[in-house]
Amino acid sequence: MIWFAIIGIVVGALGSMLGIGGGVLLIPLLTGIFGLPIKTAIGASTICVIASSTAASSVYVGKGLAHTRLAMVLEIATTLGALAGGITAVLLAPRLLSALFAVVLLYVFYTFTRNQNQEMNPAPTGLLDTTYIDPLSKKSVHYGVKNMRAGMAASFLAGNVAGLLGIGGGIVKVPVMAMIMAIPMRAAVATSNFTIGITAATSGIIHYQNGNIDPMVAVPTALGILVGAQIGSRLGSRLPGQRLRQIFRWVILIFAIQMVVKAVTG
Amino acid sequence: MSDQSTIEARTRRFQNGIHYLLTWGIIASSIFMVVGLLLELVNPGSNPPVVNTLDQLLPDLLAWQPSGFLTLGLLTLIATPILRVFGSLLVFLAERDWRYTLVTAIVLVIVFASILFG
Repeated sequence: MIWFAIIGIVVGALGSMLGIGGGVLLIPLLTGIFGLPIKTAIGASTICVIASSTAASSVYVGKGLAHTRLAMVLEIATTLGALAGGITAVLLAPRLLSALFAVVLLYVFYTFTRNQNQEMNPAPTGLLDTTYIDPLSKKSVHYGVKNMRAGMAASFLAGNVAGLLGIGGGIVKVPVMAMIMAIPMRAAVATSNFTIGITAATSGIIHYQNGNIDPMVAVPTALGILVGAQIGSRLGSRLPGQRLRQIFRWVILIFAIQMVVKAVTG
Repeated sequence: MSDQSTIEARTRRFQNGIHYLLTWGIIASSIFMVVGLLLELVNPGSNPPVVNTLDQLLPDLLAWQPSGFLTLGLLTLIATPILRVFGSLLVFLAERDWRYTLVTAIVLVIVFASILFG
C-alpha cells in the first residue's frame, strides 16, 4: 500500500508540472512492477487522473491561469471523445491502440523538436480574448484563441485516447493549444489540466459501474497523486516555459518508445 | 471601459468559486479515503475491501466499514468535476449567457449519457 502511495507522489508531481494526468506513467508502472491486470491499472489510473487534474486545476484556476470558457467549449469534444473511446475500446485490439498512440507521440515529439525556440506571440484575436498574470515575470498577458476547429479535433482525439487507455490526454491537447491555437504555454497547461477532470470522470463512472476500481490500489495511489500534484503545480509555475517544454519533449519520446515496444511485443 | 472591468471582475469571482469547489471536493474525498484506509489498517477484515454498490454504501458507512468510506471517497472525487460543470451551468444561467449555458448543458448531457451507456 505504501508503494502505491510513493509511486503516486512521483507521478503526481511530474504529471501536474507537464499538464498531463500521469496515467501514461502510472499504467506501465502498475502492470510492470506490481503485475496488476490492465483493467485494474486503467481503473486506478482514471481515478488518479481525476485527482491530479482536480488538485492542479484548483491551484491554476485560483491564479487565473486556466481559460475556463475555452475549457468549457473544448470539453464538449473531450467528453464526447471519452464516451466514444469507452465504446470503441471494446472493439479495437490493444496492439493497434498502442501503435496508433506511438504514432501520435512521435509526431508531437517531432513538432516540439522543430519549433524548439519558436514560441507563438500571444495576441488578442477577437475570439475568447482573456488576460492572466504570468507568475514568473508578473507581467499581464493578453491573448485570444486561433484555429478553434483544430483545437476541437485535437480535444476529441485526446478525449478518445483518455477513454480508451485511462490516461488524461493532456499529451495531445497541450502541444496543439500551444502551437496551433496560439495559447501561451502556461495557459495551455492550465486549461488542458482543467478539461481533464470532467473527461476522466466520464470514463471513471464506466469503470466504477464495471467493477474495474480496486480501492486498495486506487485510493493509496490517488492520495499519493494529490500530495505530488500540490508539489508539482507549485514547482511548475516557477519553471520557465522553455524548460517546461524541454522536459515535456523528452518525456514524450520515452512514452513513444514504450508504446512501440508494447505494439510489437503485444 | 467600465463594462470591460465589470466582466473581468465577474470572471474573477467565477474562477474563485470554481477554485473553492475543487479544493473542497478534494479535501472531502481525501478525508473519506484516509478514514477508509485507517479503518482497514487498524482492523483488517478477512477480505480486502471492495467498491460498494450505491445501496450498500449507507449501511457500510453506518457500520464504519472501510469499503463504505473508500467508496464514498472515490464517488466524491468522481463527482467533483461534474459538480464544477453543474455550478458553471448555474452561473451562466444567472448571467443570462445563453451561449455558454448551452455549451455547458451539452457537456452535462454527454456525461449523463456515459452513465447510461456504462
